[in-house]
Amino acid sequence: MSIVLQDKQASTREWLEENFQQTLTDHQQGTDHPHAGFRRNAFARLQSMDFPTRRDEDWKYTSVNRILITPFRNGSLSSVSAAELANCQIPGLETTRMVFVNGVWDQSLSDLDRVPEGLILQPVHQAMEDPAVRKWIESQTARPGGTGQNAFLPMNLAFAQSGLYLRVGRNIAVDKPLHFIYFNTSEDQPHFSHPQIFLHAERSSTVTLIEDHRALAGAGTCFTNAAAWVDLEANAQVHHYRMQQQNLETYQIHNTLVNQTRDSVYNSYVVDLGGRIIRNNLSVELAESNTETHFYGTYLANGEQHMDNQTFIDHAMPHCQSNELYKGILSDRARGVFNGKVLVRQDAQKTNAFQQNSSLVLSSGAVMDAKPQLEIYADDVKCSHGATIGHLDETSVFYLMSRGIPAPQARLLLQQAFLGEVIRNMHLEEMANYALELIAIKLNAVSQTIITS
Amino acid sequence: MSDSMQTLEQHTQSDYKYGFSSEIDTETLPKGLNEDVVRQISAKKNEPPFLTEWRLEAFRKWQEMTEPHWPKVDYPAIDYQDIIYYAAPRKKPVLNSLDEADPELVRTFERLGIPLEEQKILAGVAVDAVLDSVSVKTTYKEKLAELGIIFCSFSEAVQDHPDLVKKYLGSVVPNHDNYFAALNAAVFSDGSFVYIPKGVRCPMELSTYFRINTANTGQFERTLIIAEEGSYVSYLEGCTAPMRDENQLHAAVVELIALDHAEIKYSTVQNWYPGDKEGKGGIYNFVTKRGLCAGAYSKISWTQVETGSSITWKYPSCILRGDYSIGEFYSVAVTNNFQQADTGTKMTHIGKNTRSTIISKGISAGRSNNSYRGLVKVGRKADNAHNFSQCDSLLMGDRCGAHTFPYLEIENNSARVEHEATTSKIGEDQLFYLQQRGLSEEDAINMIVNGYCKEVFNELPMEFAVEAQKLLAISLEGSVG
Repeated sequence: MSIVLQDKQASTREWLEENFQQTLTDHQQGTDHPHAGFRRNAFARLQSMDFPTRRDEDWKYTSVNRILITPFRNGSLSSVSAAELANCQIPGLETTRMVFVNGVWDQSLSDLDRVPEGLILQPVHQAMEDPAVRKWIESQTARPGGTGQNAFLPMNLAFAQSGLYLRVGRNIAVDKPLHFIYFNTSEDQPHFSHPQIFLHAERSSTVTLIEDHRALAGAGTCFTNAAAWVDLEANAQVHHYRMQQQNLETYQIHNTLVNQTRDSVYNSYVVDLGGRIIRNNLSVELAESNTETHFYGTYLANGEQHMDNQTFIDHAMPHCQSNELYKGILSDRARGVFNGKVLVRQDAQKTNAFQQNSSLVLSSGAVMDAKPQLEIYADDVKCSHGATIGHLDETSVFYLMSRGIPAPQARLLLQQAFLGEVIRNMHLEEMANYALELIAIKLNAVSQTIITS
Repeated sequence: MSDSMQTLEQHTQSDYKYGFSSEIDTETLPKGLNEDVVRQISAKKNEPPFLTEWRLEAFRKWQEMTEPHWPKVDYPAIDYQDIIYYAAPRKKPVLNSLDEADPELVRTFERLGIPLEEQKILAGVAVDAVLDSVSVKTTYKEKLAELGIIFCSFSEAVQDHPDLVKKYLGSVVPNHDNYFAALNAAVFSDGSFVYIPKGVRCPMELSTYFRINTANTGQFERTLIIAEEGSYVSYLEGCTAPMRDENQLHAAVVELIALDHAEIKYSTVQNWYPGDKEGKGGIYNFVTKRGLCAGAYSKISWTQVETGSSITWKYPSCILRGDYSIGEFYSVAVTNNFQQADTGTKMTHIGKNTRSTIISKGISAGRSNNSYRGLVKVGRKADNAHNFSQCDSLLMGDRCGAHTFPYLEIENNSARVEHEATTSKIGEDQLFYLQQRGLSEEDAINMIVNGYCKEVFNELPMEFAVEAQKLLAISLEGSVG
């Protein structure tokens, strides 16, 4: 690493160190509390790691320097009005809601009395008092994690104010989706938050989790460093939604590490609309056979937005299926990055792995970098990937115009349909409709700025 | 059984066919590399000062560089001081006819399957045969000279056409481009030089055979092809190497320049010694090949059939600078036993309305690893660029690996870029169908593999297509069934 870079990272380390001592005192867990030790270990790991630079192959197209130069502080709880909360309602969908403000769990706004039966929901520090749970959490964080392994993971573990531990009991199907709303509000100085979820889906359980990241008006510069660990036991099913509507000054890094065992199904749905620099690491390890994994992702970037999706599927065992579809639209000077890696190990015979990434680049200043990657060591497999980058098909626009639809609307329709192909795979119709609506609102806003400028 | 299948079978069961070494008196410099060695090479070749300086500059830059380790290949560290950097046949004959050549040398060519006399008459191919590092025999030179075409060894070009060499050498692959290109620039001993004047269509396929002959001699070839406005040339390069136990380093550089409306077609059949079944020995093939479509409507087409070398590390690339220029890359890469290949292409779109096509077919068997690594880059000003890429991998055996690392970097919104890749093995249903029609399993597999590569073979000149089919079959034995 160059000396300049070392200096930069050294100053980052300084403000992190200061913050960490503060975090430890804030939580007053005492030195003997298992969570304090856990934090310290994580912080030691963070100190031993370098932050990724563009010289790292996995971070070739995304620089985190801009994030690291800002000395962030941990956020604190502040009030969120009822109107703003009502704004988060997903039309037609009844959910169990958990609200976090600036990374701190606001229990008064959360549906604590309506936690479904069979679901254990605890703050991580409380959950860790149980040795069995502590062991499980430690096993989750010890996982290698493919492309997900970066300094931001231990950072999350060291600083998280309100990590949540979730366990869905054996044979339990949680009917109402869990809706986790993460607000960023305005603070005196830039703050960072560390949303943290440990989800343990026991044998034959089913659960839907919606992560909803948003910023309130005037929130200013924030950094959301989120992480989720998902462990699926045999035959479990997890639907994991992530809606991201941060403001344009917010940086977000999201690490998701999933472990799947026999016959389990993990579906990920990602809608990225806001944020200045967005980086998602999604890694799945298929540790046993006959699993199913679906990734559906959309990104819609304009202005100076930078959205980077990294996915990694580790096919370690035979008879597993994975399917990936990521689509996005870029305009103005936005940058999109997609890096999808599929690893098929030698034992993973009869693997079916498909991956598709398509992007629309609408302005001359926008840039898309795609890197779909296959690494295959087994011979009896069907694997394919495709990547396309292009612009709107003018003949389709012409067709719609010939049917009496004005050009701007025709373009909007085509863009909605382009992303709609991903969205319609969402297993909850209400979520699909909601996502489409949010996309339509943003597309409208973007096309307005294009028309007026 | 068709011809191609017979040859396939022959190859899967035969050991390396071209494994022999001819005993020719060679003059060699001592092992090792320093500025004196570079100066000595330059002096031996009686080079003008600009070239000596250019070599030294490259050598100095090379010393500051580090060997790249990003390719997905694995090999013991190379001791660059343990290599002989110059070897030339001691008796440099002035040849007017084949009779004057060293009889041992002529026999070598005959065993290689390139009898010069016969080829002159039958194939109409001008052969510039390079044994080790110094060009020994050039045929059809007079005929080509009538058209103004220069086709000679690099050393001759340096003596006879220094202006052209000075103008174009390093213009596509600079002497500090990468570690191995810099090494080549410092110590290259010879190579081929082609110059096609304005408006001339080269009437025959130009071809050259490279052959590593002296044990422990790294071969550092340098090829430079210049196609002036409106000209056309098809160039064939074929490689065979004798069996050796020690790894040999081959770091070549190929530079192509196509001006307005010019077209260069560059075809390679590479069959260096791949090492034995235990992965011992074999050639390290670290090659930098790059073409510059400098003019409008120019076209550069790379076709390669890579079957040999223990390690292949090669990315024939096109820089599409002229408007409406076209770049093409067709590749079949076969790896078996412990071979490793990391190959692909780079298409850099700079001019407007440029197009590129990438068709890559990888076949891995045994315990080999075969990677496609490619970059499609569309610059900010490259309006209406269009790329189509297809990389397929075929796995024959459960101990081998097939990998794809495509990079797409698009900075222009009018670009259309399509990439697709598949990995699979030979379908049971396809095999069953062919066997049910009376073909043996072996034949059925051969037929399917041939069909799989057809798209690329179709791009090869006639002379090469047959040889390519032969080479395709390389050591697929043991991977069948």
